[in-house]
Amino acid sequence: MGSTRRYLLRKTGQALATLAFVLAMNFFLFRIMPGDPVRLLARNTHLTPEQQQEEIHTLGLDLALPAQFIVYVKNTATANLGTSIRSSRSVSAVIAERIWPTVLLVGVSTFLSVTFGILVGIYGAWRRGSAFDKGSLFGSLILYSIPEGWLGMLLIIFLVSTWKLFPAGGYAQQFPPLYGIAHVTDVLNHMFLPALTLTLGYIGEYAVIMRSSLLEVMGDDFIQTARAKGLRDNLVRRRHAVPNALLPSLTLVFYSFGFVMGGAVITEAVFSWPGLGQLEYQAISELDYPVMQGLFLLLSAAVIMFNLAADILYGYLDPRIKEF
Amino acid sequence: MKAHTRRMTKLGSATLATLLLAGALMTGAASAQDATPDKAVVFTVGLTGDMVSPNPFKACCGAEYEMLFMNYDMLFGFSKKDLTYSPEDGLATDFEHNADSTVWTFTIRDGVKWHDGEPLTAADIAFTYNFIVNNKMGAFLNYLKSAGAEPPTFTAPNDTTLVWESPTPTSAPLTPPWIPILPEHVWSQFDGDPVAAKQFENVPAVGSGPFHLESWDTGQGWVMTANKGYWGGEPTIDEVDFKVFSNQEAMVGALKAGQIDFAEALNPTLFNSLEGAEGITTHVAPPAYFDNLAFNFGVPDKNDSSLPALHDVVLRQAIATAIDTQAIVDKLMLGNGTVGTTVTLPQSVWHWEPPADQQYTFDIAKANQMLDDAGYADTNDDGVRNDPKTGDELIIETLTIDSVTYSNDQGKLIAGWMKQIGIDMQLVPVSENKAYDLWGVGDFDAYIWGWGGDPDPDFIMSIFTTSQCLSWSDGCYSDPKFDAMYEKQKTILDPAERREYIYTMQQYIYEQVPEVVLAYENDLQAYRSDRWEGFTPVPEPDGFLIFGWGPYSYISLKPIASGGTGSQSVSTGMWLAVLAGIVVIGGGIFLIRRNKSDEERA
Repeated sequence: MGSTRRYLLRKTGQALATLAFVLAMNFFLFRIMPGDPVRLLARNTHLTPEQQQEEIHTLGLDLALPAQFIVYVKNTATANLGTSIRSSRSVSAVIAERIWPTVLLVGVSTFLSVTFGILVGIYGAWRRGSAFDKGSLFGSLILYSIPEGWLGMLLIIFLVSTWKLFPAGGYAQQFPPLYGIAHVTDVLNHMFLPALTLTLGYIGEYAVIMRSSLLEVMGDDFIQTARAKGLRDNLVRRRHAVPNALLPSLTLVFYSFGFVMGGAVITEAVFSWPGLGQLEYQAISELDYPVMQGLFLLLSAAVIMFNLAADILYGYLDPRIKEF
Repeated sequence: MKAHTRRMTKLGSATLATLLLAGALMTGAASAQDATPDKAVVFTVGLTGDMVSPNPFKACCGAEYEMLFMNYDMLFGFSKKDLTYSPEDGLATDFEHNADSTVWTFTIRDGVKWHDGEPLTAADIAFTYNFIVNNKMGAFLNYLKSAGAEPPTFTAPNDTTLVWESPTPTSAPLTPPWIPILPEHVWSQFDGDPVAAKQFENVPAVGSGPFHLESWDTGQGWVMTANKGYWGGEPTIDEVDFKVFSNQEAMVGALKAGQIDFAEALNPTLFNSLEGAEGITTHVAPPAYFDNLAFNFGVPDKNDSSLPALHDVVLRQAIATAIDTQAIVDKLMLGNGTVGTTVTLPQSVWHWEPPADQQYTFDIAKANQMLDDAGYADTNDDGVRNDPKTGDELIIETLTIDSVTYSNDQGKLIAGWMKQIGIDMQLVPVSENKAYDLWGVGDFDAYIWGWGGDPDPDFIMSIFTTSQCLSWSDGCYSDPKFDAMYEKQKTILDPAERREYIYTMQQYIYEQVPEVVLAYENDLQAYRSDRWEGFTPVPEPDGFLIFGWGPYSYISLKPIASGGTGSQSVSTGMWLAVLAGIVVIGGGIFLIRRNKSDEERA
């Protein structure tokens, strides 16, 4: 029990330390990037040099770096992520309206690709060399290497322009706004193509990793023992092989769910999905420091939390780990 | 016992599937019925840039200005005919000014109402202008006062009279000021607090224009409902829905599938692909931008890295002579543009087009001759000419900007022509951010970029004045003669006389070549002509259908009664059917497998 508590404390401490480091990195990293945000905004709005100076002052960009850093830490600690340079809207509000579409799209696609990928990997490895294995491996490698942007474009050309089955982009119909089951269907319609693109794009990765780790386990002595005991093939696979082969995939799964908050920059761009990925791209190209910081903080926190969860789960799944 | 359970399961899943399918068909039928009655007439516009913010003080680019033009009125509108000030399209119906044009008095339209029903009076206009001057509200300020000048004052002696008093003679009211008139009863709470004013969400936006911004979903688009009591004519349609796409391919897909009615600002390749598409009409609107190769003259009294030889007008003219602008239009823009000459857009009434014999016609031999005559010889036989004064090689470091559509490709073409006249043009592709940095400190020899701008030429002329160095000037061009011309045009009140003078200024700039105007980029538009008619092109007769400095098309648009319907998306019923299918197939596989494993066991 003592070792478990120590393990948990150590892992949580490490996670917090990483978060603090990320907080500091976030601040300085974005300030060494090229480009001056005020000038970027000014070109379109005819500001005189005096007006630009005032704008710089309002945004707090005339303070020395250390002073800016203190303001930043203080605000972050009080959950005040600042105001977007671009739109003058609160960063928390700007991010909040994008979280749900991204969690929905990337969450569902990650879930689907993990589930189907792992199943395909298991069945492929278990019947190594079979037509299913050869076919699924070939398919996995193809899907793994297809750029998702290109796959998305193909889907748009055929399923939108030619067969007119799905909307070309967006999250939901705006006018008239729909409610209840009609709204759910509408979102499903909008989500189908981006979710399909993401699921197909990532299914291969899980299939290939699951397949290879299961193949490795299948050569182990305890599998021989299980078979020698006269266990059914299905039982050997379900109770002995798969649980032991699942660990590497589990790492990947937790890692992927952590990155859900990163959005899917390319797929979101192809299907005009109003998620965090698009916001990220926009914030970076317009040097909107407060929005960038907010997003990266959110992403880092999510990744760190999921890693912590994975570590804790590992402690239970594989008791040997607690000893290290 | 076991066999019995299995049969039950089979029976169960079959029943479930049947129920789901039945439910699906019913839901499908129900939703089809719901959709039929009192359907609003909606015009859907696809575009690739979202608004930054619906707050007028955060307005940046095309999307916001289109919304502002629909939602608000201005003191004067831009005329449909030629984009000059137009009393019939604005809140002021008449005006007069005193002899030295320091006091302007406007008659304001009577009976105009805000979207919330409050009356709009001259006091609102005075409030809006004073608010901008007193709180120094960025973009709009320059329309009311020039830099360094004493601010004007605005008063409303009664509901239909506005008085604009300027400490110095001014023609600013006729530019006209590109400023949406805001309701005092909404915005007065922010007087004295410009930061709060910029943070105001402004949705729904109370204005007085023909349409009313009702909602905005960031990243997705916004909805504008018709203001049926609009003084300038009642819109036929009920709604305009703006839908944001993050790429042009998806937008064109949506137009083909009938999910949108209009696609704005297409690239030439996709535009050409739409020609002849069923139910779709393409429209080459006039240019909204010009592309330029601008030279850097260096920041006075500072050590700078710009090339001294660029101060020689002969060198600049030789460069202009060695650029095949026709090839740029044909090869890069696939013909959807116009050869560039002067710094105003060709459709503008302010545009001066140089007569054929005064133009820099593409002629490599002539350009070489000009450089030979001016003494630019290749002294060290390396294929690159040398500056006779300094001996420096003629190496022009030229920034091209990644995100500017044609910049990189124009750079490659021009560098090829420069090589033929002994100039080494070294291209430095940079991100737009990096370009702003280098532009801000004047660290480049030349760049390939572009300008959009106002219908009035004041702004584009101002960028060639000395005082704009490190502000709006491309490369700190400085010429006292031109500075004096710029100040003079501001004082000419007679439009015809000012136009003549603006022509002279353009001619001067064309001869001095502080920059080479490469091409005017046409705005490429496409729409569902099987469903809509009655657009108002601005300027007449074949200008912008929408995105053209006014809400005119949105008011005149009419749906075609027999028009095609929208695309049929997958319905609720189909989704449920798919779900049922999955359940049936999944259940089937599960049962087969169970059977099999039972047999294995047996």
